[in-house]
Amino acid sequence: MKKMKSSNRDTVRVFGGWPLLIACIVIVAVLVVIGFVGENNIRRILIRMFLYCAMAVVWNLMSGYTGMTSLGQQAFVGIAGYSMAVMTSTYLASYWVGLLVGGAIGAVLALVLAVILFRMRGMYFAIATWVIAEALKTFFLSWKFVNQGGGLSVMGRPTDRTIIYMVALLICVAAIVTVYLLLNSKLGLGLTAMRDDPDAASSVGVNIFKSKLICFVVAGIFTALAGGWYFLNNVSIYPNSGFGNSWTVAVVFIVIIGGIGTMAGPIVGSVVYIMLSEILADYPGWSNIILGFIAILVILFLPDGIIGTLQKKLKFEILSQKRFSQE
Amino acid sequence: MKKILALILALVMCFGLVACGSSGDGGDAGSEGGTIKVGYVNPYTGPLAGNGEGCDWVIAEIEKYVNETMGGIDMNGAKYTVDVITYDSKSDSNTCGEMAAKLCDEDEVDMIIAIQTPETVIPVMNTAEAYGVPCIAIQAPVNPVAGNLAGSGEWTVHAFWTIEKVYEQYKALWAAAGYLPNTGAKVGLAFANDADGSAWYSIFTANLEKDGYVMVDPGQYPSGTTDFTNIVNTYKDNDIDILAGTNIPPDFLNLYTQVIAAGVEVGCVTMGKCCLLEGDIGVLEDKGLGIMTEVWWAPTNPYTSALTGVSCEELGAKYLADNGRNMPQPAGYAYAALELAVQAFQAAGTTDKAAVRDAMKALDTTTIVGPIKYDQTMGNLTYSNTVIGGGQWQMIDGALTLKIIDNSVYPEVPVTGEYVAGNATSAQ
Repeated sequence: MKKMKSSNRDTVRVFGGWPLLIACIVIVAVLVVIGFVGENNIRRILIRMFLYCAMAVVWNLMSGYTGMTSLGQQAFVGIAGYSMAVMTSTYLASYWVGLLVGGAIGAVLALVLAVILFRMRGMYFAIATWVIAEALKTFFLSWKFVNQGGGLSVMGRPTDRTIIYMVALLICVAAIVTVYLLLNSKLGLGLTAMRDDPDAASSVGVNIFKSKLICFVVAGIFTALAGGWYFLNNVSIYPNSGFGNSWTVAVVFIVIIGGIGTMAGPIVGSVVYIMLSEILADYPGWSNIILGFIAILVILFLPDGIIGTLQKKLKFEILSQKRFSQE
Repeated sequence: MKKILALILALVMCFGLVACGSSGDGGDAGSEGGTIKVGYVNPYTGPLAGNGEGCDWVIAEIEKYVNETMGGIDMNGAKYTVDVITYDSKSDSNTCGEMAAKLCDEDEVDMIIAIQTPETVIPVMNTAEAYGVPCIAIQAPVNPVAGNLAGSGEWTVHAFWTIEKVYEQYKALWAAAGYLPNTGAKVGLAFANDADGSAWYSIFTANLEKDGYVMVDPGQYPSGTTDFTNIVNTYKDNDIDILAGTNIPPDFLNLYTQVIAAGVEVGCVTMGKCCLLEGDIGVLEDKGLGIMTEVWWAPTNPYTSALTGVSCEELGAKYLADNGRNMPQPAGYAYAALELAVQAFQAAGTTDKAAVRDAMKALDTTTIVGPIKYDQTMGNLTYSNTVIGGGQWQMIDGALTLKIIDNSVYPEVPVTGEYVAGNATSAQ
């Protein structure tokens, strides 16, 4: 841990470098060991946590760092879930094929959507992403090839749940590492500038389209991979479950609770969200009310989220993309 | 103030983390502790909440009977009590799968009940198959359940009617209204493109033409549609005689309101799923008059539970006394599912999952919804047919009441009324 000066001349403690890397490796190693020897219930909870975390981390990349607030990430979840189901049930292919096809279609979909969506900013972008996801849901509800609203089941789910756990962990770690590397690259420098003022950023040489495109495609790929793997684990998919806006609600909740615009925020947020949803399952009818109440409290009193508030109050940075000068 | 609230919030979340961490220990009583755990995913909230009505009452009745009246289930001389663990499906198929997995891993249940519509039965059933937990599926048409079974069907048995049977029942209702086969009567279709709607649509369209009816098919529509103008115009242009389909209550309310407003006069309305419950038909108010639907269970049915010795009439009367309203049809099936679960454990004499599975598949008994014997197969699914009757909502003493007017498919189901001509479209 080093004491550094931030741009506003405050002294902050920065957790980074080798100590942080070693800490991360230890945490991942512990999670890998849990994958082999942990109780089934712990592994079940962690699988959900990993997949939601992956989706939240890339959503945070888009909304928290580049200003692209998407309300339609469920489009990638649904596309990948159906890819998994179609590949395994219609074409009797392996779930590995289903996962890769889902990721590839997610990337292609992101590239295609970018052409339309990048003409919009702010709330227009958000609404457009939501409308596209709804349109896809309606299309899948009527598409006979995917059994319309009748849904599909994923076949050939691995009997060894360690595989499901390890791949979920891999998707999560890969999403975090990719976003971290992106933010700490030359591209990352331009992202926050682009979020705060796209025109000013463009005038100082930030390639807006390229930066946005990279973030959007990365988000599309990881959301699709996490979504496809979720449906392998959950077995059944319907248009309303794959393309339902509950996916976006969950991801937004996670990022806001954890701290938007911070690397550690979505990680902490996904832990809190999954734990809360596990506990609240014992209170039928109340779970959504309580989750909503917590979200309102956080927005009112901790607008920077858990990590954002802690960083401000305790003057530290963790997994930060910010550039500091030595004290 | 802000700091205090922030502190409270932090404490709530910390409590959440701690409580969740310890929640996995909650189910350790397990079969070793003399408790048989049965998992039950019920729609307490969401669009299917009406179907979940009565679930808690039924669970309490069965638990009371088994644990107090019977003194538990006898297994090798030891008495085992039954604990039914319920979670809310929120009427959402993702949540169904997640809660079923929670029941298997956290609560370590010995059996799972998968109940209600295909969207809620299939994810629970498929999760039970994946986890190797015996599963009693019930109360969803057999065809879509069989079509979406992900596993080998090793751990699942199912009980309900097939859509071929419900088609036969509807055909009998049309005949009761004077629209006999091969007379060229025009049937306006009203099927959503959800799991139920798609399964019904394929069977109905295949049979209608064969039976000499003229199909007026405006196409399936997404569940949640509010503007039915095109569909209603199609009905009007073709001067339909019969309106037939299956829908969730909000969809049918919108469709039927627009049919009436457009002045489409229909001789006979038969609608599945949305017109089963007093609560659902009550939303339609006077528009519910004359609508015909399938009846899966009624207090007038002639069956007596082999487990509890309670007849349909007694059960219906007890529900009415305790809850102040008539027992809904799905609650009858909830009761039957738990009867079957208890009898499977009695027959197995152990909580060993393979033994329970084998005992469950070999059941040959009578439940509150009628005889159950798992001797049919569709694809990999083993199932038992359950009875069905044809009902009509009639105004009795100022209240809409469901009368069974046809029993041609299962003659053992008593008829409780006669067909009365007319409905809200003809009364305008």
